[in-house]
Amino acid sequence: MRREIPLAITFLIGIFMLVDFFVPHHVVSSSAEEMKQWGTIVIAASILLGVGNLIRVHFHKIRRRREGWGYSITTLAIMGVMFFFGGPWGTIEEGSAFNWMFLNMQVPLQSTMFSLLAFFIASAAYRAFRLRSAEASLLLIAAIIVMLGRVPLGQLLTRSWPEAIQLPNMTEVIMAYPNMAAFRGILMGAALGVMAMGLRIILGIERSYLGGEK
Amino acid sequence: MTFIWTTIGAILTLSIYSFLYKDNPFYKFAEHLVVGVSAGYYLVIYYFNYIHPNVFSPVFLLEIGGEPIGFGSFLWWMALIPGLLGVLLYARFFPKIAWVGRWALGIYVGGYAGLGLSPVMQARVIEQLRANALSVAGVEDPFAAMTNLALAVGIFAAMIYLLVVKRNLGAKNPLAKVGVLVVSAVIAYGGWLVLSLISSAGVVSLTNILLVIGLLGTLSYFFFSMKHKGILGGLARVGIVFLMVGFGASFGYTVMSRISLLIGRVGFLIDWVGQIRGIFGA
Repeated sequence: MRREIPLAITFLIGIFMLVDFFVPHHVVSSSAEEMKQWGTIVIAASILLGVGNLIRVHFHKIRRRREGWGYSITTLAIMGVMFFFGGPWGTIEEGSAFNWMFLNMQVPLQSTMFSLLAFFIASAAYRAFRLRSAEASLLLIAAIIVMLGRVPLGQLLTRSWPEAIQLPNMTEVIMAYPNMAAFRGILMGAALGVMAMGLRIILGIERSYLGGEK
Repeated sequence: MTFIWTTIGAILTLSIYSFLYKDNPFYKFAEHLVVGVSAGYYLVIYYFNYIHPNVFSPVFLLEIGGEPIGFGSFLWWMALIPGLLGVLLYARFFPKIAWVGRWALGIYVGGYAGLGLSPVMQARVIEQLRANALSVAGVEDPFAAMTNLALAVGIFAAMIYLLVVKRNLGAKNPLAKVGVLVVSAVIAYGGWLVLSLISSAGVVSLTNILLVIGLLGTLSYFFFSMKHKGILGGLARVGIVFLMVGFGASFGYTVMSRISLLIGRVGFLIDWVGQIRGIFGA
């Protein structure tokens, strides 16, 4: 029963959501809306579960004095401060301390973290772009055109060329046609995969989301 | 006061960039700070945007959006049940009853699997096909339409020939020699058409052809139910070309977005140095 009940729930809810698409009756659609609301609440609970798990991991690290436990104090302390200013005693409105921390701590710190990737991307580019094959050359040429075409330098370098082969225009053409064709194909392939997986889940063929235990 | 906060921000920024040299305590401190701030942020946002208005408020405060509801009423139960399902997820902290968390998983996995089927088919397959079902003629003039169609067929035949036939038969095969002549003629004709069709309508039809061939090629590349030989192999090769250009373009875009973030942070550091110079009168 530990696996059968969740499989039955998955089947019934999945079929009900499918029926909602084909039966535009208000009873069905309002029930489906309620189900979606339930799903949203469960997802929110699962995200809080993730945060709870993070707290647990760092708490254990501190309690057992594992390597780097001091950093765990930083994580838990700042999380506590955020919760204090945004939680039951605070507010998340614009101008609040929570909002200030979001704008002046989270946003710049995350953008610095992501900007760090520029350096790693440069080294990855060196490995990927070495002209080892015709395909790698295409990758290199497309990337260079797009990179230069998006900055003023590209326009400056090619401003005396015919309009059709100026880098900004070539970038537009690459983005609108070959890039669009390739990503449309990928999108459709992925969508077919999602549908196949959805059917497997609803029919109980795919059970990995239930975990390994009986 | 602003200068103090800017200085703290600059020190944290430099701490993160210190990772470029090697992993060090300053970077680790900043990294853990980022994790803590983000976790605290999501904790608050998800609680106040979803859990509080949809579960806590109706079940314990007996109100939804400021409107009072009765204890044990239909709306009360409709808030309690998903709340309990959410609580069931936490059963995984207790191994003996961890399995009850699967009920909640069943709700949202089943829900999103069912919900995903029809809209995904609609939005990501049918609509994408519709968007790609373009007129290769592109113009109302019948002559121009015919020549554009001939161009499309010619380019496609040339691609297939170059990629498949020559490889399979060998360049010395008589058929391959005839093929070379035919392909040369088609390419020459195509070239002439390209020159004659450099008008807005002609360009539109050419780009449409590019989109149609690109999509067919990409889909063929991801079609694994048959061996990539013959026509399918040729199409898959065409698909690789489009995929490489697409990946290159995406890579270029990603690099530019990261560089733009880097420029923003370096600009912040330069401003900070300017503030220091201003304070110390340098």
